[in-house]
Amino acid sequence: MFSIDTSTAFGKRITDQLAHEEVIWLTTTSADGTPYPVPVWFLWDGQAMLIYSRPNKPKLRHIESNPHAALHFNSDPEATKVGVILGTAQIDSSAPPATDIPAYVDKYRGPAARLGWTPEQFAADYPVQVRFTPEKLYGY
Amino acid sequence: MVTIDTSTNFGARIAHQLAHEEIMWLTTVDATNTPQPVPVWFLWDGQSMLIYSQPNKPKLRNSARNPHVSLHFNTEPMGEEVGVFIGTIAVDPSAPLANQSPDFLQKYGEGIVRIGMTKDTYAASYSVALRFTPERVRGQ
Repeated sequence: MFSIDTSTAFGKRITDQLAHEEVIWLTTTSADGTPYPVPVWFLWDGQAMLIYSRPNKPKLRHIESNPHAALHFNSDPEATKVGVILGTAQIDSSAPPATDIPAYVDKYRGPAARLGWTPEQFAADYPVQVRFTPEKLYGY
Repeated sequence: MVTIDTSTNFGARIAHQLAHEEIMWLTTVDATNTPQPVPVWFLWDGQSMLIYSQPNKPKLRNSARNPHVSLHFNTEPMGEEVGVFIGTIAVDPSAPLANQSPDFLQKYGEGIVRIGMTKDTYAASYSVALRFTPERVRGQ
């Protein structure tokens, strides 16, 4: 079971980043083993990261053939603050739309508005939920 | 071989980032097909990136098995300014040691001091030169 040791400065920072960072990089791998990093919005629910995607995107194809994936935060310019999480990603076809998850709506109402979306429009454009289950955290 | 079209806003920004960003994220893929992102220093020479590594690091084992890798810049906090390179990486036995590369020292002389090293101790520690050859770049 994945847990974050919040008694350390690193664990505290990661917990804060999981709650407050707007963007995280999701890296999947294509069929020939090439990594494919893309920045995504995410909601950490304490056990998994929920990520919504448009349909038919490369990351969805990649996850279906290889669920091993990585997440990392943007670092500072000198890479003194690094946080990488390895785990598995799955498409959850039974998941509710983003608008049914109040914490997701709260987190991304502002960013969606900035891009000219209502939460409902975002949920319609990004209907596929990817659930990332973390296994290992590294960084400093 | 990638040509960066600096007549576009995207190309001009990527060219600037290649010259001035201190770190990029190098993602290799391990034996279980899990991507492993790590921040690295890099020197762009107009055609390829030179990256120095300590010996026996996972990125060396991973890239020896699977040379397909990605390199990307951090984004802005809201996910703007994405730049991702896909290509191949290999140990470059013809590359100079870091302390013999004027361009590398020009870019990272201050960084070497900041991490508590000298150009000679850095070159002795980061003794393996990797050459990344980009095949394509994507972003916005």
